[in-house]
Amino acid sequence: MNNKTTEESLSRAAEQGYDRLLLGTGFAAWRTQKRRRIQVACGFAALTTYVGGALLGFPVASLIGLVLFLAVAVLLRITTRGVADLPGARLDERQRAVRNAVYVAAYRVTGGLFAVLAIVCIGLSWMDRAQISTATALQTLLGALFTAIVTPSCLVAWTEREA
Amino acid sequence: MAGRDSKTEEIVYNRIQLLRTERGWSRQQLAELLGVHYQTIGYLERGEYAPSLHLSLRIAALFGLPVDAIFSLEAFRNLRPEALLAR
Repeated sequence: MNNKTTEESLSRAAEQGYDRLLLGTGFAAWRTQKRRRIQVACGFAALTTYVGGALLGFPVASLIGLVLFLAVAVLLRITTRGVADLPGARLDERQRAVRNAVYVAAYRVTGGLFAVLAIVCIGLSWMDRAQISTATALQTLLGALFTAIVTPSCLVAWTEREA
Repeated sequence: MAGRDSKTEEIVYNRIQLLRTERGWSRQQLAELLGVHYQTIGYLERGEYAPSLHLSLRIAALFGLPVDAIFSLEAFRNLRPEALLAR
């Protein structure tokens, strides 16, 4: 009985969260296409700092990059109204069409990114310069994973006229 | 009154904005009646999104008009008095 009540209250909280995301009026100044494109650029810069810091051995820079990236990812989710993330049942048909289109594009973008990463790895091992630590390699892979996760929201932010 | 993406040949013109303003509804009100996001109404009115058949039928039912009175593959004639007098 208690479990059912907890489930119901969690479900209600989730629904309220979706409503806030879809219909919220906060962050209005950040929802213009120009500002959203700036957020995408900031996210890219933060991610570059995170991966670059890891590769070049600057853990503090890497940490700052990661924190900034996570902050931008959350902001992007708000300013795009979560169109790329919310359950399909919560979106209308146009939003679902947008989500489907950006996921196809994101699949191609991240596929290309991973292909470049694979080529770099092959090149490094071929030149016998693969002297990177496991932690660095893991951080680089996480950077690629973060990119894959946030790319749909970035594409919505970049292409949608308003949000 | 507008078409979809001008880069494509699949332009669908509509009279949603005219009908909505005639009834004194805001975009938010129309969105709630149709169960879509209010931004989608903007996209429809600007002709930047062509609705599915299902949504088109719901829009037609809401306005109490046949689908072809609201949507057309050809631009609707301008119904403003000055435009009619100029003809």
